[in-house]
Amino acid sequence: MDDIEHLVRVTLTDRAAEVGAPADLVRRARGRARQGRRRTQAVGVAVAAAAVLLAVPMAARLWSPVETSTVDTAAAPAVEPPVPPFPFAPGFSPPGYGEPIAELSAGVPGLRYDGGPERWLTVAVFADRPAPPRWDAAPKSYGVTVRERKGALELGRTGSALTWQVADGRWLRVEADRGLTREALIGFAAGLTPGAVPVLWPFTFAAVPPGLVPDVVTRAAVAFRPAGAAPSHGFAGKLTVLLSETAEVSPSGRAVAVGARTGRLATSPRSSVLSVDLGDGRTLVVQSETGLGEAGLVAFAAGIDPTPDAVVGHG
Amino acid sequence: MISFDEFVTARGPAMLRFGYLMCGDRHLAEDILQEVLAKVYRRWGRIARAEPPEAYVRRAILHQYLSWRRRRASTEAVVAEVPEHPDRGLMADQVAARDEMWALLGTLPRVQRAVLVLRYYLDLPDPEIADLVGCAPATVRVHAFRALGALRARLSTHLTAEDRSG
Repeated sequence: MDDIEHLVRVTLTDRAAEVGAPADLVRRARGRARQGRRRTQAVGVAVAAAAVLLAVPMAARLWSPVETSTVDTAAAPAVEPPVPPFPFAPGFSPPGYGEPIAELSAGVPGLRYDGGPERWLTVAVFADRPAPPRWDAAPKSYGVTVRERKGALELGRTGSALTWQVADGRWLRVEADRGLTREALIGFAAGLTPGAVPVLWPFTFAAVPPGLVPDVVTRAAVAFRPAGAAPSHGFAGKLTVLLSETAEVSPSGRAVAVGARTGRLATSPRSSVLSVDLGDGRTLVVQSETGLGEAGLVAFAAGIDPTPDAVVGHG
Repeated sequence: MISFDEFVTARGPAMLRFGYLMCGDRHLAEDILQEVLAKVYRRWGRIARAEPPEAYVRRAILHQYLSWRRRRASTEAVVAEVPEHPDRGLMADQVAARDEMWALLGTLPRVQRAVLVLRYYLDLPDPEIADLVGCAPATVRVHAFRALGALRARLSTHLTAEDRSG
């Protein structure tokens, strides 16, 4: 691919990314169809369209939070709120990269390998062609073939990225450190097939405050966002649970009873942070920027238990 | 079988983006998409059973765009001038190069632009593009060759190869 072809590609991708989701497309398409029909059908179609507009967002939700604002940790069973699995399975794991880990970020499952310092690999799925990867310097670009589909391979200074569209219309992007050869990267990409790698929860919850949905799930952190808020990769505006090394945590605030343990609760107008020493070198840190009251936050924290898949986060 | 509403909810945004890249105008793209979906809605049962609906809708958008362009071509203004961009940093130059490329895409004949969108945005192989556009694969290659040649010739000579790489 020469420089003009590459510029055409990135220009089209950039411009496409500027177009947001159209509002009320179903309703307007149905309305337009109705204009070409006899008037006898008008009322029924409008009612159906309204019903669909109400039904589709409900169906699209990942899960329904527990419908209670009073958390009874003694009576409630432990739950792991359902999240979608990563929808592709790798054919093999590159040597030295460990096992694949599915995580949720901004409400979307992704796959990553963590092979230690400077050895990483990620896989992401997109409904539409993704924006070009960001590089600190212009990468070298190549056209390659992945399972008989055309792919765009970019080799940057610090990593490589391979993007292609699979037969069902979705787009896949594999990114890795430059230590993985281009042949290995393409081979790994070709081994990806539709499947399911489950997102493993680092915690179970006795209950989740109503109106919150999972937005970030990693082995060390979970964040719930208000159902009406836009998905994001960070923790701002969310109810977040982190597992940290006790030695790295400096609890502040006043002492509060959290189930059978004692925690420290620090509040500010914008957020509340509750730290609970688990007594095994790990500390649970629960941060709320969702307006959850003190009683709700303490009850929520009391119902959290780390799972065997949990790891402590750093930094 | 996927319902019309499920399809539009899931793939409507992608179809709008495709239409926008074809015509270069957001409002017109919405108009084209609505027109296509209105037609598709009336025959959804047959369409969804016969082939992947996305391929059908994409084809319909393409044909609607080509048809629309034929009807409206006499009223359109050709973009003959593209913005001048003084020397700036690398990122600014890359943005300028993409702006210029976007403007130049608007000067291409409709079929050439469609071929570039199908080839470089959707990454479709030439035989599939040929089927969509309604020509031979060799003709697709000719359209692409001429389009790229025109873009290469008209793209500002001050842009370096690094800028062009986006």
